[in-house]
Amino acid sequence: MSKFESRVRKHNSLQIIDLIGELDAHTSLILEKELLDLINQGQTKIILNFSELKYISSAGLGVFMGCIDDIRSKNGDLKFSNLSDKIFEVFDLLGFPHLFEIYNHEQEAMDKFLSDPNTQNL
Amino acid sequence: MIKVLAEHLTVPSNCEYLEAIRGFIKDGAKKIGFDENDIWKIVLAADEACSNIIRHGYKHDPSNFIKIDIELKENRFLIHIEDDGLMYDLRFHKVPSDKEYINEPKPGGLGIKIIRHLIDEIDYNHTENKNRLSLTKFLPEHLSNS
Repeated sequence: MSKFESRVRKHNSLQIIDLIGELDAHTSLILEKELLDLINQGQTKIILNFSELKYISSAGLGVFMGCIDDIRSKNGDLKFSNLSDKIFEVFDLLGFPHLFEIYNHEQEAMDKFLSDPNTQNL
Repeated sequence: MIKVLAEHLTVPSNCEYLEAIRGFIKDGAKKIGFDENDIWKIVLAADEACSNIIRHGYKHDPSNFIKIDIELKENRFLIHIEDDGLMYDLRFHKVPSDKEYINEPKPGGLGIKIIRHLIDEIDYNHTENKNRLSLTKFLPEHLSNS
């Protein structure tokens, strides 16, 4: 079984998910459930930190595509940080930099949320 | 350097086996001498092809099988993927342009775009109810001439 784990950290009203291991068509179901759980709890300001993710296939990116409309309709967003060069190449190939905000560091993604007038109680 | 390579893997049509498929392809590409970047491209393309077979060709029915053969033929590293699922020739799949995709983003079809980008040649045959997809990565010049 592919090794993948996601860990959620809470920073005020932001949810930060650390992605660890390999994200493929099997393990992407774990991430999909994690994201749906957060959305159902009303947590829609989410940062995904890729610093410990070793591999991603299109199934992983499909998870983000599948939930982004719902998240943005609730004044939330998915922002990405700490992508390796190879993972960024997959994002870039599929045009994701035009659809999502991608930052070098987690703090930059947090700052962007902080500067958003829709983000409250931070 | 190994100049002859012919290896085989059969796995159930279950996404749980994608990691094993990636390991098999990675080991074969390593034996040929591909660099790390090319190995990543080959492995990702094979993963995408097998994921599509499991999800769309077999519609997640885990009672089927995927057969994978890798071989070295002159300056070509070949991955042959055989299944008994629904017929599908991904060479003719219409991949939306970036502009179309951004205007109306939908999941699905992403893997085919990745395969086309990372692999040098794609071949497909459907005979006797079997699909046979062949992905080719050309050896870099320094490996072809050694």
